[in-house]
Amino acid sequence: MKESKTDVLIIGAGVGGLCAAAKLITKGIKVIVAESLPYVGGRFSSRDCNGFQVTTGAIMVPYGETSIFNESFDDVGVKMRVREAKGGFQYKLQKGTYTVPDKGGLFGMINFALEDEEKAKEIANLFKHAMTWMMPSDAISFKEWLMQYTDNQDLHDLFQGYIGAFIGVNAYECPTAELFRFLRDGMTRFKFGVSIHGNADLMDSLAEGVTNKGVRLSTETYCKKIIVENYRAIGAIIEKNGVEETVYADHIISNVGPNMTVELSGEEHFERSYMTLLKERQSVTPVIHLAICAREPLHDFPGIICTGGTRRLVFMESPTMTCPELAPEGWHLSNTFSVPANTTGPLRLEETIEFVKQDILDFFPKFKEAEVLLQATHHREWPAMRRWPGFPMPTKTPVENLYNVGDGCMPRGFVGIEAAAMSSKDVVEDILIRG
Amino acid sequence: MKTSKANVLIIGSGVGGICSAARLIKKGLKVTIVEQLPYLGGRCSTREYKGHKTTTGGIILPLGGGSTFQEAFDMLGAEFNMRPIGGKDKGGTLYRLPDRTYEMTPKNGLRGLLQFCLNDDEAGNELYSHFKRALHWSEPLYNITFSEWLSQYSHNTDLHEIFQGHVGGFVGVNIDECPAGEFFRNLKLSARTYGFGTAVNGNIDLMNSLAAAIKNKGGRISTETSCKQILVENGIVKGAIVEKDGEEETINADFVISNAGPDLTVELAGTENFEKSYMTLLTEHNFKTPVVHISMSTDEPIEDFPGIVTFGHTRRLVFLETPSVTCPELVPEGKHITTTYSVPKLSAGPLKLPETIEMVMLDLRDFYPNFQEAELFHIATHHSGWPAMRRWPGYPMPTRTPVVNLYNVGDGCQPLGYVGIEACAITARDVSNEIAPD
Repeated sequence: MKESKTDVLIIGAGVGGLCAAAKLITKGIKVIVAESLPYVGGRFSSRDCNGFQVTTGAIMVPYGETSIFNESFDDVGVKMRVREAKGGFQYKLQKGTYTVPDKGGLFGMINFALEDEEKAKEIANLFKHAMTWMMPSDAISFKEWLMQYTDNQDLHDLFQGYIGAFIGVNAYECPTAELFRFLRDGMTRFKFGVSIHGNADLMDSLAEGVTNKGVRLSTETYCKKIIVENYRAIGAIIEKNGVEETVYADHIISNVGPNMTVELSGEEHFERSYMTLLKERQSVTPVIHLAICAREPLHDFPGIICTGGTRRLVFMESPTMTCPELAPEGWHLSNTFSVPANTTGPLRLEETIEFVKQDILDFFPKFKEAEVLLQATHHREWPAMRRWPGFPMPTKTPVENLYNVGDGCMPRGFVGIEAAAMSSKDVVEDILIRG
Repeated sequence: MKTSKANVLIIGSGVGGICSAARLIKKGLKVTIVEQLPYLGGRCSTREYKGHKTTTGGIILPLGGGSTFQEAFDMLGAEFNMRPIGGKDKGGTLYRLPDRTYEMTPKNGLRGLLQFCLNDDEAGNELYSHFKRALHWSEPLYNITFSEWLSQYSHNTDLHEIFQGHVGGFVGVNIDECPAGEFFRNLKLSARTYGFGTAVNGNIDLMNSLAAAIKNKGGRISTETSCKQILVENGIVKGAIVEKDGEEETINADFVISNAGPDLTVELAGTENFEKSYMTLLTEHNFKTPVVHISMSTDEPIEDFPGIVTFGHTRRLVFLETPSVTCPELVPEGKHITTTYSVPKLSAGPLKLPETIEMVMLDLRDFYPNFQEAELFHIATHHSGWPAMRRWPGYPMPTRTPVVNLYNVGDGCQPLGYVGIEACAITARDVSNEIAPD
């Protein structure tokens, strides 16, 4: 069998894997990345569908000076081809639309729902109190938290849409602290943009950046087994085109999700408290994604629209509003997301899609003339996020020198791409400290 | 009604309260402490019986450069009359099984303890590698108990029994009740940065020394003063109504620190001011850790080891100490005092006091054949409102409350990995630094 040696072996070239590769290689650490798919980026990539660049999962790209994701591009000297989504955020209820201004957005959206300035101030103050004085505990859901102060249906609907769109679960499922952490930390530290030529282009350029710096990156390369000796990871067996290779490494970073990491290494090496945690909150967050193409744009807002009081629809965004490059000339592309009524229950795909289509028609009547280009379900092994918000796995595993990165290990208060990038940064820092 | 003003009002003069006062006075704030009992220190104080001084709760006190407790004394230049237990190269800890003993020293440490329990150097080394990984690589989590964690690697009963004693003695619950993560945090953090000692003239002497320094700097300390109500307006704390000798007084304050325990704080401030997620947390893991503490007087020391003795294979006894060996000042000449601790079979269950006392005596006779009778002069049950610790290890309440500027300190808010006096002193440090940042 072929054999090779490296400092760090990274399994999976998603956001977590590639960001880790970028950070390690700039510190002069030898890195090999093995990706089983023919392309890099995982759920942060895009496919060409009849000339439209459609995402494989993620939509809004975090970027800017304080974004950890952006930092990895900087590390390897690659420019991020993103354009700022100028419009910001909009909230739609049956009764109307609220566009978030530069300042006072939280009060504005609460007041939009309540239509009562006094009460809105009171509720906005409670949010402020939660974020600046005392974070509520995770013992109750956000829905329960809000019910203490108001049962106004519009306000509950609005936050149901908001939490579904940004955190990926329903308001009654979201630990209340997680929403406040997200509002305080997760939403404020970076800008959102749209990748000009699709997410695949962004990740390809990051892959090129790390390869140029000397990372050995190999696609269509499966990991068959992580080799553990005496509770310590020492390498892995990978396979490409039927040829097996043993890669010995001082550290292994897995970007294939905590469950698969255990499977590849063998459950017997993982002590019970870790396995209990892994199984206890074993819910991924599922979403259903509809990509819609149309001659006439469905709406004229160049940002993110959250919808409340719907059957299932929570999120609508039209990337071609910011980047017409993503569609053939004269066409427009929109993405919608919806969250099942119970994210741990069965998906009920047909029912959900039927509901979503009715929702889209209600809010965006031009949908009548549009076409569904693609419908994707993100669940199980290809979920919106590998763990529920608020219940991440730690990046360290009980197996020495074996780490996980990616959205199975999102730091609290963060989701998606930025969270995956942050998990990599933590792991790389730990590796550097440990030498 | 009488009224007065302070920057900070502290309710309760336990370790958390009095250390907060010391730190805030040092920072130049005007501080008032009210204590409902006639003496200071709460569960870190002293009771006297025919010239014997024994503790009201806390026994092994932290000392040394890394101790947050001692730091509070040093900040005000208060005398800290403590004597370290054990010698320089001694760990001060002895482990007893019915047929053999092991003295832990910094040299042979944990690895030696495991080898001793398993009676097999090789097996001890292997188990030690699991402990080492848990301490230095990946900490076990809170979802299993330490007993479950240990069972993954060994079913040796001597080992489980010794750790039952150790966890009972140092963490305050049974081995099958202690979250695995908490055991390892405790092992890693507690006792790593500080040493242990005995207060030469009893705990009350320490508390009075710190109180004198506080008063000297202008702090007001009022004993036999109970808090009737914490005043809250629009979600912000405003002060409290206190009562001494039937006379009420309103003390207005910018900050209120409660050392009366999180439950009582809520009761005094009114549950309506505490939102649901806090109340859920408060009621969900609302177990106090109970212990039964027996102080006894003998002519000869039952145990002449000058430190902590932890037992395995007992009915109830987990831990004893003979403070008079280190500090003869605590007893009349020719006498010795022994303090035993025991943990109920089920920390969350009934206490069964007479049964516990009887079993502790049987345990003592098993381990010390010469021991027949002693004068039991202080039998204290630490539970309900006067527990060993106000929350189970691993389940602290936060120091902040939903009421703005109202804090809790003390062992209801023990930081993870710490217990007892040092934990209380840490909550005091954190809250003081928050109220008056440097």
